[in-house]
Amino acid sequence: MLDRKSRSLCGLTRRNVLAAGASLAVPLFIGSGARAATGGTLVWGKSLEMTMLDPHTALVGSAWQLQYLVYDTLVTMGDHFEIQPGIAESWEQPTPSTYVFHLREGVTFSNGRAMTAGDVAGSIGRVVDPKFGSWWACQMGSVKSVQAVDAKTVKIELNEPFTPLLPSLAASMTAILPMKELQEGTFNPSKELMGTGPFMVTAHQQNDYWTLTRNPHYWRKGYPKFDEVSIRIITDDGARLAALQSGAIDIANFENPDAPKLLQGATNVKTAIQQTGDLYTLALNPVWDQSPFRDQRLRQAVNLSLNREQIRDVALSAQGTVSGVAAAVFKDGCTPTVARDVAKAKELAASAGGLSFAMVVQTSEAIQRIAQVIQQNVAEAGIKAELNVVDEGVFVDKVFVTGKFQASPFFWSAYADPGMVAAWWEPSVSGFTGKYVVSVPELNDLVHAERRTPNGLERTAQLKRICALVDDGAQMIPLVTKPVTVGYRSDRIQADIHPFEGYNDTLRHIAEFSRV
Amino acid sequence: MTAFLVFASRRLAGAILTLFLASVTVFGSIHSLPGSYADVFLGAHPTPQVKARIEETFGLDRPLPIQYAKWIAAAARGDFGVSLVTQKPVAEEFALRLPVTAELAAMATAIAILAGIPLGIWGGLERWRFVSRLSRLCGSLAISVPDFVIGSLLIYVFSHYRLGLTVGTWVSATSNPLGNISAALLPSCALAALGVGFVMTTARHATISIRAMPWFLAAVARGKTAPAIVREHVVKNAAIPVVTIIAIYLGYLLGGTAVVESLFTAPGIGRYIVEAVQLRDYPVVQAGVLLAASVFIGLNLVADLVYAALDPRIRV
Repeated sequence: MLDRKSRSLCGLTRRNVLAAGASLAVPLFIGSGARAATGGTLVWGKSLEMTMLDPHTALVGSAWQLQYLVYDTLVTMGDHFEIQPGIAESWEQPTPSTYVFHLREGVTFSNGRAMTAGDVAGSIGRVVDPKFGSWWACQMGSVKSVQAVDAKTVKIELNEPFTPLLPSLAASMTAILPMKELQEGTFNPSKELMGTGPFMVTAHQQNDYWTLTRNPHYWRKGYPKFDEVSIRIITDDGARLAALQSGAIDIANFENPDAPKLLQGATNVKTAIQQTGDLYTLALNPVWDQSPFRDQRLRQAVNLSLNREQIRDVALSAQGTVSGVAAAVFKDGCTPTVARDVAKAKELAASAGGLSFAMVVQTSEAIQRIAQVIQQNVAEAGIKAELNVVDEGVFVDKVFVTGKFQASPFFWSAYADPGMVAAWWEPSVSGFTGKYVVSVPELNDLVHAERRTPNGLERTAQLKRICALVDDGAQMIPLVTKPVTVGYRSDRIQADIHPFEGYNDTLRHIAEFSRV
Repeated sequence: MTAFLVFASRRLAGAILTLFLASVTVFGSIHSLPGSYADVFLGAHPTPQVKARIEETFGLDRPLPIQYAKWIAAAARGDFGVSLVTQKPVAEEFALRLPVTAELAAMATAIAILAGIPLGIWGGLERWRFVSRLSRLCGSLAISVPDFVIGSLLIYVFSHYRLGLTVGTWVSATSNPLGNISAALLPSCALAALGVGFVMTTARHATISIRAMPWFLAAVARGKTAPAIVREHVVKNAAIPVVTIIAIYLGYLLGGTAVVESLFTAPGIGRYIVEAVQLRDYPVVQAGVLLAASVFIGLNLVADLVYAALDPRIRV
């Protein structure tokens, strides 16, 4: 990674020490010579505002990005989806369904109160409490109990083994809240943020800015290096690019697939592409009585007509990876099991009496482009697709609330484990995909089995079979993964943009960023 | 006097009725949009517990007529409720953003006046045919090219060539007055293009018609200098249509800044209301539209009353 090469050797972390060691062995690994300075303000041009402050109910990446600056989680994610210590410095698994976490010393909330095992147990307990209704509970398995064993130990007992538990505990949806204050009514997580993370919020104006200052009680001594993070909400990609070029901001994330090309040639602007498991999918609704896709032959006809490489190259400017439901960026991920076959697609469509359908399309640039390529792909198979571009409210109503749509391209976050997103193909797990996904008994059984099976050959085989069943069913067809582009001013800051991310924590190493 | 009072009462009653209908329309429209606030909030992962909690918290689970009655009664007392997104009073949120829109509108109007009037008069005098044609072309272009196109062009040029002005972000006047002017100048220019076009075209036409007047020819015949003719005859006589078009343009600016505010990331009221529509933040949208309607209805009422006071025939 170019970013690491440019980092100075000041303020060493464990990662830096390893990097420095590697640099001795590999002479090419040399620093840029620039000296990092602590203090100052990092100005981040963020593409979307956060509208859900409570991390336990927040469901969009734009909120997670900011919550990670303020909150900590029991465990965290490494640069390649590996699970690493977070608030818990270690853990053990005495039985397949029991986890015991040993908490770090010196972890303190930004109000100065020391975090206790009660805060951790209370936070996790809140997420899995059915009365609270966090959507993330279904990604934590069947939790029997969460207990504070002593001041520094927390035990989670499950009713059955659940392999993605650790990855799910790295999500901001399991952030550790100050439960004492929450229970006393002096802290309302839906109105304010207070955690043990590197920063704390000092000012906010909706849709305009956030100001975060260094948490003086942060447990990683010497971090964060910046005193302040000023987040400017700049929704327009062009304006964010202009702000980066003009020096009004130091760093920005971009959703526009053309961003890397647009950033090319910009003086002192470095670009990093962060791969994620997030998946663009095409949902073909088999539930609604006015959808032609109740007929599986027509779903398969569309699936066979799709040219995923073209979707990636044309719609997404060659960004992302063509993928099956277990995202191909994971070690146990898969590629599509269905190859393009226009003749067979034509045959299937003809056998069902032809096909014409309407797609509900969000206003996102990438999604609109994907819809256009899909429209051209299916046209080659004699299938007519109409695009209806709608605003977010109409999209949510048609697709997720009423399920009154025929087809729609959208994306799912795939989190930090190849099996997690597959749960959305099993309506009884999520409880909210039943309006546009029908149960497939074999797939359902496999999703449950894969979540119980430890990582290894058996789970890999299960995931492969899940990919094949998802492709065959063609209800929500996985297309291409969704990477994130980050641009930053290399003449102003030193930034380490990690190559893989599961929870939209684009600036995961922000505590280590510094002014040049 | 009695006739005037009767006229004023009738107009006032009409204004109140119009305002009431506007309030019903905006309330009905925003609530009839597909996708409620809770739906948009919960997106792809709706859980019944959280949805019920949101609807109960904000009273969205009550019948619409009751929600309307509660809202309009509070609005009549000056309480516009609380933003569903930020959970802060709407009036507070507006107070933060109104100065930004007012600043942009004021700067754009100033640019329109300072550039449009001299160019229009110069073009109307047709002293140099080339200049006259150029001003006509510029006026037409400024009117016909949308502000977001001009804005995008300005953003590209000023960021790519780093010409010194702040691009892509906003600087508040309280924290950095000079930085604020630097950030406000480009969006003001984008907004001003239409105003420059209007003012220039109006001033040009007014000047041309003044040139045809006998007293204009008499002034020339008396040997007055061109600057004196412009100052004493043209500017004064062209003022009425120009002032009228500036007033119309100012009215347009108060509601038409949303696109430019979004493009330049200026935290004004237009952008705020547009984003509130997308998020289904009902109290914000309702208050925004109701306030705009109140201003327009109020101005119309004042104009009607002033006309009636000046011209008794109107009272009949």
